[in-house]
Amino acid sequence: MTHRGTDSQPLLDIRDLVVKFKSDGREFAVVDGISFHINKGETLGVVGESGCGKSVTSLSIMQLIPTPPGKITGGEIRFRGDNLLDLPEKRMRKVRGNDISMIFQEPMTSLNPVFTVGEQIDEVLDLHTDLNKAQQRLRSIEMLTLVGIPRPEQIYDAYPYQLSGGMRQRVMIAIGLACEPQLLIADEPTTALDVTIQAQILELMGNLRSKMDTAILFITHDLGVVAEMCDRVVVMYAGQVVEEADVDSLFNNPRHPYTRGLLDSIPDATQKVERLNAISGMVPQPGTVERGCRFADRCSKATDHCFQEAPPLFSIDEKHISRCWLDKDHPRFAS
Amino acid sequence: MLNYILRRLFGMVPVLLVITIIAFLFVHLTPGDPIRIMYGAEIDQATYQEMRERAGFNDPLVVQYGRYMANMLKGDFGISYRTRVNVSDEILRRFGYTFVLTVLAMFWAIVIGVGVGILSATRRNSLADRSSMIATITALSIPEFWFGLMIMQLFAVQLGWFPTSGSGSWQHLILPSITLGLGVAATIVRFTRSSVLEVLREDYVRTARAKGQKESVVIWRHVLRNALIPVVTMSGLQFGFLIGGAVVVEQVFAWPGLGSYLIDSILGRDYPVIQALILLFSLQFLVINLLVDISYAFLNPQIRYE
Repeated sequence: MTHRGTDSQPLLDIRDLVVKFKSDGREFAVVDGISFHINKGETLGVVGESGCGKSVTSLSIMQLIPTPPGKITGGEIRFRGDNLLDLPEKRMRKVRGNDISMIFQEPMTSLNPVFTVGEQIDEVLDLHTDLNKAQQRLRSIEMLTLVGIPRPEQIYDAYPYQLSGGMRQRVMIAIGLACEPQLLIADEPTTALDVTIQAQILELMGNLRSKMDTAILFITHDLGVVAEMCDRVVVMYAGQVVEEADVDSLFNNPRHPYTRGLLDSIPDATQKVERLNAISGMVPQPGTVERGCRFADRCSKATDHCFQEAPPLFSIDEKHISRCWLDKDHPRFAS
Repeated sequence: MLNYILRRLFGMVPVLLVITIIAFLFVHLTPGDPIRIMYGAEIDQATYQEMRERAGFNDPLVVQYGRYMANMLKGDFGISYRTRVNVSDEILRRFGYTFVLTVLAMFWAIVIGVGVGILSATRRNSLADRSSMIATITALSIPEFWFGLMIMQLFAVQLGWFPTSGSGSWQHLILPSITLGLGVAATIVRFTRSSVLEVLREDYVRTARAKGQKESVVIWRHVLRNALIPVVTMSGLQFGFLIGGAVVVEQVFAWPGLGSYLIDSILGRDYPVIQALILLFSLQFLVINLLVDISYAFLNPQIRYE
């Protein structure tokens, strides 16, 4: 896969995004100064453990953070040059579902149980296109066909409870792509599905991406999925970007010990091992690491320096950055 | 759908049968001899026996039950011991009063209950929400008769906007219906609030927002259709209770409905009336439950085909 980013301006450019959540009267930065970009038609993977802030980042782009308790307190989210954070709600609504759409982790609960599949696809067409009812129906059935749903005319009138999880996720993708968005945010779209269904959904997304030229922000904790789907990868840890690279560099030359740990924890079918490799410990709670590297506690290569001073991002090469003192001989990354 | 309704109606038959048996035995199991109540304790033994024979009390229970059922199916519930009026006629006359009162009370309860409930939920922890929560707790804690007397004092006696009691015009209905609806309104507020709050957390609400839908449409279309399903069930049950439970309010406002009829009949040991009312209240409850279930099927597609 090649970069299509010939435009100088990226499709989506997130800079120094800070999202804070309030709980028990204290504020925590769940996303703490994240920056990354997606070019037109590109697929970017965002990887990290549960609680690293990847879902919050994606909801921030849509401005669907539940407020309270969450709040975007800093940074910019530029989409085609416009800062989405400055858009009034009314204009933001024109972006949602139309320019940027989103599919979620839980297909079983993401569709409204009291409306038919057809009504739910029609709704997004009704909001963002001039199609009349009959045209909406045709377009919705076309979308259902596109996402590989058999008997689309009948499924159009079916209720969500009549469909399996995989089918529902296909419907969600149909809703997401109905208005041909420039960016599709997929927040762990296959996590809740059976492995065989996962493969089907990934294949479908791959096909549709090339057909519709949609950029995809693919949020996952599954590096196997990243290898299959993505052009570039951002690795997140405890609300920060710890490594960013194109997919080949990340898999062949991982720099950050956390990325290495993630790669090592993928089971290898060709080797027989007693226990799977895991990174010991857990992601620190937001706000608990007062100084030093946030990963230092769990890092086998941590030195005293790591506990004293938080590492900046270092540029390994033009497209590869890593937040680790091990790379301190490389130049510091200037965004 | 029709199939479902027929099946449910058919299912009501055994329940009703059991209720008729209980209502029938009621007269025979409670202390007190109906003949003595009807004609007084001072009639002589011969007359007493003759009356017993004529009323059919000497026949075996099964025969009496058969006769009771046959009469009932013809719509004949007997003659009131107390007033000598045909029970069915009297019930029919009074049913209208109770029905109108209850429907209006439910109307207030649903309009206020659902409205305030939604407002409370969408403005959670706001001043409006907190005040409505205090108001509902207060409304639930106030005894009906006391509230009735208080608004009677204020709006009827002091302000003179409405008549104090009795019936005859729509003005007569306002105070009793508000009194009757108050508790239900408070229950519906709380129920709607928690139901809406629960649905607001659902993933499909986030999906609707992610489509670019307006918040007002998200609430009205996506949230309410789901949140109101349990509210409908609960309101239906409340309606069932109200239609038999207007007793206190009818007494306070001298409303000539079934509730006051029931009280008078119990005090006068007027068994045919009590019997008929037990049956009627049970039947109402069953019918309302059926209507609730049918409306539930309309609101929740998953029920429809099962």
